Amino acid sequence: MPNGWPAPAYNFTNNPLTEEGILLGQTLFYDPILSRDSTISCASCHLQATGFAHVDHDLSHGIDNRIGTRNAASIMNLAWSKTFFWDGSINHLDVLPLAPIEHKDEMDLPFSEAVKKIRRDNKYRPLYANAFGTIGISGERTLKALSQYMLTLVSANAKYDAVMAKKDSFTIVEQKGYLLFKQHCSSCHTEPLFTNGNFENNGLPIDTTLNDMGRMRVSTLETDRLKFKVPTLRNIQFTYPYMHDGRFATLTEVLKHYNTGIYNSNTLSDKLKTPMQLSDNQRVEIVAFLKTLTDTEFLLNKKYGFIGK
Amino acid sequence: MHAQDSLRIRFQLFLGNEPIEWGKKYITSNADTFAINSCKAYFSKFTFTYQNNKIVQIPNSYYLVDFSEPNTTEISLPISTNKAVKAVSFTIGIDSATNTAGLLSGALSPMLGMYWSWQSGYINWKIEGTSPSAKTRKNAFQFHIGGYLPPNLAVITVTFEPQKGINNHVVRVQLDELFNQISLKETNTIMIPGKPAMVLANLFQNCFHYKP
Ligand code: HEC
Ligand code: HEC
Repeated sequence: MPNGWPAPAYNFTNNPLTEEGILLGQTLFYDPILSRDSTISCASCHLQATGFAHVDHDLSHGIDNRIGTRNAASIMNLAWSKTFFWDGSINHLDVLPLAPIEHKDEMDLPFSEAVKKIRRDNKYRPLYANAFGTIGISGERTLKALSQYMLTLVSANAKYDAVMAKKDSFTIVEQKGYLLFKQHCSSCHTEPLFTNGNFENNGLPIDTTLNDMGRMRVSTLETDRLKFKVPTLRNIQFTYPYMHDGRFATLTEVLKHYNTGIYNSNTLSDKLKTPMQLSDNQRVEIVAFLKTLTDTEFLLNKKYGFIGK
Repeated sequence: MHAQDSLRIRFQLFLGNEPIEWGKKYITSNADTFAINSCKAYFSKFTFTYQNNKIVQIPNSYYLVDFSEPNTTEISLPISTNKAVKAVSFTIGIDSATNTAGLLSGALSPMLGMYWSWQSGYINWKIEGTSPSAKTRKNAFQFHIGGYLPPNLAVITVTFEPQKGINNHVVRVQLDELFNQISLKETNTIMIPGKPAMVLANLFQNCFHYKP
C-alpha cells in the first residue's frame, strides 16, 4: 500500500490475495479461453506496456473484429475505485469480468460456458486447487482470481511519486506545470490517485455517431447527462487515445480542449465554466507535468506480464 | 428444525382461476393473446411481526423462486415457538446494499441468470413469453425487472396477515393483474432499470394475494 494513499475501497478480507490466487488470475487474464472462439483474452484489449489500455484504437476491438462503443480503459489502482467503466455501470471489481466475457462485441461467451471451458483444460485443475486450497473450478473462484491479479496492478512509482517522497525533483517546466495542474485540474483529477472518483461533464461535445449519454444511462437522471467517471491520469502518456470514445490522439489536443474547446451544456461542471486562458507555454508545461506520472517500473514489470505455458 | 418451528409459504402462479400452464395461450382484457414460458423471482428480507409487536427479520432470507421448478416455490422460515405471527412481509427483489456487496454465492450467485452482466445489478424478477401483439423477433416479450439506484429502486414490499393456527400458507401470484394493465403491443421488452421497469414492478406487486 503506497505511502499517504487513502484506504482502499476494495474489501480484501472477502478475497485475500495469495501468490497462487494471483498466478491463477494472471493466467486467466492472458488466456483467450474466456472468449467464444478462443481468440480474445483480456490482455488483447488491455496491454501492460500501455497501462493496460488498448492503444491505436479509439473504440475497443473484440471478437470477429467487431468494434465496441467505448475506448478500452486503463487498468491500475483498481482497489481504490468504487465504480468501474466510464459510466460507473459496474459497481464491484469481482463482478466486472462478466461484462467483457458476455459482451457480444468483446468475448461473446456466456460466463457459465467459460467456466465449462476452463474445467475441460487440464492445466487449470492444479492452479485452482493451489489458489483456493481445495479441488474445484467454479465461477466464483474464477472471478475472485481475476480480481486478485488485477488488484496487484498498482502504479505508484512515477517520477511524481519520487518527487513527493523528496527523492527526486521536478524540472522547472514540470514544476510550473504542476502548479497549473493544481490550479486547473486537480479538483477532479485529485492526487494521489489523480481522480476523485466522481462523474463529471468535462465539456466534450457529444459524438452523434455514438450518442453516449454516460452516467445518465445508468442512473436515468437528466442531471447525469454526458457525465463520465473522472479517469486517473497516471501513465497517461501511454494510454492514448483519450476520453471515453478515444477522440483525442495526443495530450496536446486534450489541453487544447480544456483551454478553448469546452462545450457548454446544462450539466457542464462549474469548475470548467471559466475559460482557463492557458498560454501555449503553459499548456506545454502541463503536458510536461503529466509525463511525470509515467511509471516505467509498472509498465515494464515482467511480473505482471504473460505467463508462458 | 421442527415442523411447528417453521412457517412455510408456497408461491403459486395463477392466471384467472387456474395455475399457469407454460406455453398455453391466454387472452388479456386488452385482447392480447399471449403465452408464458418462464417466470422467476427473488423474494427476500422476510420479516415477522409477532402478536407482541416484536418485529424480527429473518437473517439472510434471500430466495430465488423458479416457478417452473416446484421444489423452489416453497419457502420455509424459522419462527420462535409460542409466539403467534401477526404479519409477514417480504420484498420482491434485492435491496441496494446487497446489490453493491460484490460477489455473492448461493441464491445470490451472479451465475443464475438473474444478474445483469453489462451493468451490475440483480434482476429482481423475470417473465418471458410470446405474443403475436409483440412485433419483436419471434414475437417474444421479455420483462427483466430490476434497479437498485433511486429513483429507480425496483424493490417492492408485500405484507400479509397469516391465518392463525396454521404454519402452511399460500401466496398467489395472480398475473392477470399485470397483463390486463398493459398492452403487449407497446410494452413488451423491458430489460433495463428505469421508469418503465418501475411501472411493471408496481403492477407486479398488485399480483400478490394471500390465500387463506
Ligand atoms: C474487446 C476489448 C476488451 C476485452 C476483451 C476486455 N476488455 Fe476490459 N475494457 C474494455 C473497454 C472498452 C472498457 C471500458 C468500458 C466502459 O467504460 O464501458 C474496459 C474496461 C475494463 C476495466 C475497467 C477499468 C476502470 O477503471 O473502469 C477493467 C478492470 C477491465 N476492463 C478488465 C477486463 C478483464 C478482466 C477482461 C477479461 C475478462 C477484459 N477487461 C476484457 C475492453 C475490453
Ligand atoms: C470538472 C472535472 C474535470 C476537470 C477540472 C478536468 N478534468 Fe480531465 N477529465 C474529466 C473527465 C470527466 C474526463 C473523462 C471524460 C470522458 O471521457 O468523457 C477527463 C478526461 C481527461 C483526460 C483523458 C483521460 C483518459 O484516460 O482518456 C485527460 C488527459 C485529462 N482529463 C486531463 C485534464 C487536465 C490536464 C485538466 C486540467 C487542465 C483536466 N483534465 C481538468 C474531468 C475533469
